[in-house]
Amino acid sequence: MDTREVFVSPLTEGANNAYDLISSTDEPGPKKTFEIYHLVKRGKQHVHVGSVLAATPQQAMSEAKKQFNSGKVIYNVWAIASEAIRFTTSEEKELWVTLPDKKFRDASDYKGGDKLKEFLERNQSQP
Amino acid sequence: MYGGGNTFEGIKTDGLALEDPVKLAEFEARIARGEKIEPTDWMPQLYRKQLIRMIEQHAHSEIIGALPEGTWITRAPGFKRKMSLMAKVQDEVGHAQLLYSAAETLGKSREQMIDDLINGKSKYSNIFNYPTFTWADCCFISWLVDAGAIVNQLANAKGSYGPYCRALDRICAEESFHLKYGHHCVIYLASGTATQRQMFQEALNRWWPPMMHFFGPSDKISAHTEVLMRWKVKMGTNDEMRNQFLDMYVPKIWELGFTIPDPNLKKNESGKWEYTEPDWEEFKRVINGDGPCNKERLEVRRVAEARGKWVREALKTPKTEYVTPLA
Repeated sequence: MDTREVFVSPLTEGANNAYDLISSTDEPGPKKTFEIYHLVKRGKQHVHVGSVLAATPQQAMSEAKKQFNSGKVIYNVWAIASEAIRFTTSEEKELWVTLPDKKFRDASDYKGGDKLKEFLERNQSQP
Repeated sequence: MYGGGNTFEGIKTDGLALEDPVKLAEFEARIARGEKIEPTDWMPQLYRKQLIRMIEQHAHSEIIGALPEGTWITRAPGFKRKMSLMAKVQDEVGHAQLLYSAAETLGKSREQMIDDLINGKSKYSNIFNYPTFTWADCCFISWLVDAGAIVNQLANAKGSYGPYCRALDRICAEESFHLKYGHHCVIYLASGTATQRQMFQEALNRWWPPMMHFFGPSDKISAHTEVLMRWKVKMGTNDEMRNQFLDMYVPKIWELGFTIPDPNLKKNESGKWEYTEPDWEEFKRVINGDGPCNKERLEVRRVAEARGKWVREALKTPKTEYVTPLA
């Protein structure tokens, strides 16, 4: 997805909620779905919280304020038109499956402890 | 894989006087509170410049660092080792992609970074300018160079720049299997035949001096880094990082019955490691382009860039324009 498709709210800090800086708008026109993301801790990544129906990204922010502003401080909000995001289809679901025969990508697949112990014992028994 | 702060270049702090004092104080207070700086936040020019340099060097080190190990994929002993090494090399190249994106958020384009790598303007970790003659050299990199890199990366992950820290968290998670794989390879050489043991001992003798160079010049001669430490760009001095590495890995090397080629290496009563200072003149020479493999490493990148050019051109449309990553 192109990052220009991301509509970004102001970034706040301390006890300032980014939603407080978003004004309510109601715009005419056909509505489409926008996905909403929150930054709940500065320094961490944005997390998907849900979707809203709106005519413009500005209105999506305003709708998100109604639906997802629980009073908890949110530092930054993203609104992205769902159609701008490339979703994988159910036929593609195996893209997300980790192959069971890829154990070599896991640290637990490299057990050298026994070999090391045997080596150390062998060395100790030698003069 | 990366050795932090590896140059002699000093930083010029005189530009700091021109920064807005109120904004600078807010910026420093935020870092002191342990908060991260994000791309859209105000930051001093010097902070931006140093971070670009550091993250860019780190990214270059990942793609160049994949080369000395990459040449051993076809010769790795057995199918299992080949699979592991291939996965590791693939990861290193992926790490470069994450890091280029993090550096781009600060305003330098990826193309410019690649150009600066190829024309020699940007540096990368010195250690990758040395050759991997034998399988044991490759095992040394997988275990000990990665171990050194993890010491640096875990420290840098606690730094102040959000996008860099997030990239490092992901990188460190992947590195855990690299380190275990490297140690596994060396245990097998150590407990193998006399020839295998000798092969690793020779690799250790060759790689020890560049490994000591890896963490950068001694604090006695390296550039002043006080402001970079305060801004959490640099999380420890070069000597502190080197000491941490020695503390964690010298006992493991000795345990396997190998000799480290430095008769002065020992831990003193205060818990610090004493060692012979490596040849810093050689370090400078190699960093400035006169190492055993500098030309070969950059040539590989140059050829890769030239060969891939038509693909990048073909993907362009009249509307194509440069987009900076968000975070």
